[in-house]
Amino acid sequence: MRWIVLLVLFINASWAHPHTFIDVFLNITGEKSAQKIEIIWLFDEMTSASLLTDFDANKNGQFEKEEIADFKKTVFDDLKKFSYYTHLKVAGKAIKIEPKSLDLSQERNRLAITFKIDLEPFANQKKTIGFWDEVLMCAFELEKDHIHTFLRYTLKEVSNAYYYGYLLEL
Amino acid sequence: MPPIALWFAQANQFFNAQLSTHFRSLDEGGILPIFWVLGIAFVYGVLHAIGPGHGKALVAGYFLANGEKKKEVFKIGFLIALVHASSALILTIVAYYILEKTASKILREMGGTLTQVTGGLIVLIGIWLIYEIIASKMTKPVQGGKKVQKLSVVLLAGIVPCPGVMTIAFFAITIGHIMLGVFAALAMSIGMGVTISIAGLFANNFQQSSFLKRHFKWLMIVRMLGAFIVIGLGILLLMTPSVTKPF
Repeated sequence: MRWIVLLVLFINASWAHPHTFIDVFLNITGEKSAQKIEIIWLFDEMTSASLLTDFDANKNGQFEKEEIADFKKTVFDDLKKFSYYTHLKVAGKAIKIEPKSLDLSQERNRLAITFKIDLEPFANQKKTIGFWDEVLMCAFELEKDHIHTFLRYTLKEVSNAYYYGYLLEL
Repeated sequence: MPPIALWFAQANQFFNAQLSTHFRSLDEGGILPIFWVLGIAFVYGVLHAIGPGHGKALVAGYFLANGEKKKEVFKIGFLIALVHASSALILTIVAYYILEKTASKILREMGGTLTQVTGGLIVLIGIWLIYEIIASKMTKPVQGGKKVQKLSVVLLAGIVPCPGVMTIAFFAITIGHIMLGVFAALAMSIGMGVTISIAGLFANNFQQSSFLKRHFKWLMIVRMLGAFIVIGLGILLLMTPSVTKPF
């Protein structure tokens, strides 16, 4: 019997394993209610190494329009099926987000990508935004120090059997 | 909910970050960073393979269907890890030096198809196992499958390149330490081999338990279950969405 339990525990895909580690930074604008949220993902050094090689085609340490467009087409747009690892709920209802103004930059040896979400249509409603990857191919890290806003918010850690992440309440 | 996922992800992150830090400190000279890189790569391999994939379910299913000697279990476990790591290593090197692309780009483009083809072949292996189990029904339980079959299991479990190894190997190339990158990949594959073998050993010990030796009917059920795990895994891989590696 004990073998069965151990066996099931072991092979039952209990934990996914992240290959990519992302530090999240947030800039939230708005005075009474959040208007726009700017999300910055800072990739780990190892993932950055191949992404920088792939998308900084001319190797000048900067990202031109065409390079950003290439990243958007080959990588970023595919994240739609994971809702860009950004799970917005307004008054308890899940909303599909549409990231805007995608931008890329290099910070030392790491790649940073920035995108914005318009929150104006949901002014004065209760919003939550979750940052996680349900299949945990990517692990997200969000600290209070990384959130810049004048608005009041709460930040919770979310830990499920299969993944973990952070929930921001606005 | 237990914070296991959190703990596990953080442990992975810790070793991942340690690995890049020690790789970078290689340029400061001395032999110590080399040992650090290899040691961390090994532990990272053990941890890394605890996650799904890496052929554990296939190995477990296979050993439930066909019991083996312990030595053989370890052999297969380590061979899978070796194939899994070297396919990643070869892809990274060939892609970078010959195709002038990154391996992650190729895996983004082709990883889905490769996974699906592998899934289809794994289903066939499962059917083969069922056929054998039914054919052997009237005879005594056999120990050990055919060589070809074991070889196919090793290849199918390992042929989709390990993204973890790819990342490390590529990183090593970009900072100019390709040789150590190769050895780190090997160290990591030995680590993964430990985990995969332990998964196989659990399944194998169960299959070879004295209870099942005494109850022939149950043994047949367990063997069938193993074959169905293999088929189920194949179907799962066949149906996996194309994104195996988002970045």
